[in-house]
Parts: sequence; C-alpha cells; structure tokens
Amino acid sequence: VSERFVVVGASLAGLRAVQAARKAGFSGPLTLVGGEEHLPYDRPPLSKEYLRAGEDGAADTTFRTEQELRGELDVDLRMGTWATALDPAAQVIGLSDGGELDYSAVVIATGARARTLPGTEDLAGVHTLRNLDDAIAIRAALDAGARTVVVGAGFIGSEVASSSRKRGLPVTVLEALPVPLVRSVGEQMGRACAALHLAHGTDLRCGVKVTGLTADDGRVTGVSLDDGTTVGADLVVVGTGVLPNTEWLAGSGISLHERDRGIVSDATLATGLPGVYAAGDVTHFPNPLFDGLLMRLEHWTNAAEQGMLAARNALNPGEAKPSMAVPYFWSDWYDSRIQFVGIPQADEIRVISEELGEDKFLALYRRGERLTGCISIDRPAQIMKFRRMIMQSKSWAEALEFAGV
Amino acid sequence: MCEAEAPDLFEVQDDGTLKVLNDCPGAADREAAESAVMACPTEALSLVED
Repeated sequence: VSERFVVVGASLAGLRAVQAARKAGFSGPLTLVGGEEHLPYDRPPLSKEYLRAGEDGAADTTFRTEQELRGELDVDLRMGTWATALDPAAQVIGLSDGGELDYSAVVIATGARARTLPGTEDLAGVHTLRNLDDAIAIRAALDAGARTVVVGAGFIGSEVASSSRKRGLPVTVLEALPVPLVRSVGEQMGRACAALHLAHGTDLRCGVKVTGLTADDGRVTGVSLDDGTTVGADLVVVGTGVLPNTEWLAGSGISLHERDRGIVSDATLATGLPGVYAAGDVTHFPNPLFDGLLMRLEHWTNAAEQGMLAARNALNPGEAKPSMAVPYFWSDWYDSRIQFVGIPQADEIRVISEELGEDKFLALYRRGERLTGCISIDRPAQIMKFRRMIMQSKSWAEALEFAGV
Repeated sequence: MCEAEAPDLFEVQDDGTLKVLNDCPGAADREAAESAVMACPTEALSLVED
C-alpha cells in the first residue's frame, strides 16, 4: 500500500497543504504537482505592485525557494506537470509526462483559470490575468504605453485599470451589468466602487456589450460594442471570471457542481472519494458558520486556510474539522483599499458611513438577525473587528451599536 | 487578518499598520499566533521559538 501524499496544484493552497502535512508530522513521500514551470508564487501582487512602473523591474513573488521546498520540506516537486486523471479505485493519479503517482491521500488544489473572450486567444495584445506569464506580458504592454481597455469591471480588471491609470495611461473599463460587482458586494457598494474609477479618470462604461475585437496583422486595435462604436486599444485585459480546473477529474466519479463544474466537497473538504480532499478556488463547500451555505471562494486567505485544513484532515480523517472561516478579500484600487468580510447574500445592507455622514465607505450586511458581512474602503482598523464579530455570530443589534448608529 | 485570528496579539491601526500587543505570547496563544502567521497575506509575521 502506498504511503504517498499527493498535492495536485502548486499555488497558495497547494503550498500550504504540503507545509501543513509536514507540520502535522507526516514524514512519508510528499509530492507537489504544478502545471506551471514556476515554483509556487503569490498572485495578488500580479494585478497590483507587479504592474507598477519602475526601472528595477517587477519584484519576484515566489513564496519559497527550491532549496526550501525540496531540501527543508522534502517535497518531491513536479513543476510543469499536469495531473490528467484520477483513478479512485486503483488510487493512482495520471500525469501529463506519462508518469503515474499512487497515493494514500490527495489534496486537489488545481484552482481555476480565467475565462477568455472566445476566438481571441491567438490575437496579440489580448490577455487575461491569472498567471505570472500573463502579468509579465501586461507589464510589458504598459511599459510600452498601451491604451488599455479592460473587459469586466470586477476586482482583477479594476486593479489592472488602477495600475494603468497610475502610469498616466488612458483606460476604459467595459462592464455588461448596469452596476459593477453587484453579485460580489451588492448594488450600493458596486456604485461606491465605480465612483473610484470615475474619480481617477478611468472611463467606466456600464451596461455595454462587447461584440468583438478589431485587429490589424494579428494584433488587437480595438473593442467593438453593441452601440456600434469601437474603443481603440493596444492592450485588452479580459477579467470576466474564472472556470474551476476540473476537466482532468472526468470519469473519477467526483461530485461536480452543475453550474460551474467546481468540485463539491463536504464541510471538512472531503470529496467523497476515499482519501481525496479539495481546497481553494476549485471547490464548493457548505460553510457551517453560515448555516451550511454552499460557497466557492476565490480568495487568498481561503486558499491558505483550506490548503492547511485539507492536508490535516486528509492525514487524520477521524478528527477532521470543518472549514468555517469568515470569507475575506481585499482589492487595491488607485490609492484605496476595498475590504470585504463575510458573505454578500443579505436581507438588508446598511450604508453606515452615509448615516454617520462620514467620507470613508462602510456598510454592514444582515441575514436574519445576524451580522453576516461588512465592506469598507480605507478602514483597515475597523473591518477586522467586524470580521471577528461575524466569526462569533454577533447579532445585528450588537453590530449597529458597535458601528455607532 | 492577524487581528481577526489573534485579537489579543495584534491590532491593525487606522493607517493600516500593525501594532503588536504581545510579542511574547504564552502557550495558550500559540495556536492563534500560528494561525495569524499562516493567514497573513503579506507574509510579514513569523514565530520564533525561544
């Protein structure tokens, strides 16, 4: 019987999984499989600091050196290698190099990939932003002074717009919805975020539909809209969401969500296949802190926490613990930091800053009689206190009192 | 994040910087301190044994 622990996916969740496995005392063979050639690296800076102008080039965001991973953690690193199949009966994972790995336990952390605009994959100047290679290409385009058009006013697209504006370049953001970010933070909050674009000279156009791209000699020249106009562009960045990377699990019998084909795990991140757990962007899980609401989070801290938890649970399934963190994400736009804790699905959202006549945005989300979410702009000291309150299932009344309304 | 994980050890200030309330946590706070280190998006925290 194999003793091997395999972690599939070598971004943050996968890295935290191998670290946690060793920390939990696992001393057997430990393999980390990663599709990219790069060692595990930090992704949030790729749409922020990484795109800033600077003569020294972009900062390296690699988490750990090869020596730290191979030497200190004794990890069998398989970079530039994809998992292509999982056979739960034989307990074997197939690899893109033709090899196989038998296993006793697996953490799946294959994450998600950016959606693209169909038919534009081979056009120069059109990018998504998910990987280091994407960021290198976008940075080079900004260095060359590109007129930037961002498709999708979500967080990634908005951060790219911010970075481009900071360099003084003209930026247009195209959004299909009448208000950006409605699904992730709600309507009023989407408006507050949109105001940041307008205040910094970004041409934000909502309620427009992209009908196609114009190109010359294989290079993008503009984005065509359904109103008949075309916005000139040297760089088009598409930020229209992600797709979980689960195609390689076809035939494994693993449960996939009907909407997006993400994995569906239980609260302990167990997938239902013996010894197989999932972590991070790739998996839906029922969060006990919010009455078992099924969620798939694309957040840094969720990947870090679930990577650790999935590894610990896989090694000790008899004492598996549920994933019940309060979701948290941040996004840096221009000189502001947007922070969100909790879940956006709410019975009521109150814009506290408006009630108090304060400039810096703060809103609280209620579900039933509980505080379940909080969003703020440039209030780093306050938001973590609300996160704590959500973690402790504090009541709406207590939250309002704490907020001072 | 660290403040939410370990409120007895850390407090985020209005300017976003961190005030360390207790830089020598006892055994009781150890798990919270470890969670805070692993949860820090800036990887700015570390735990040293002595």
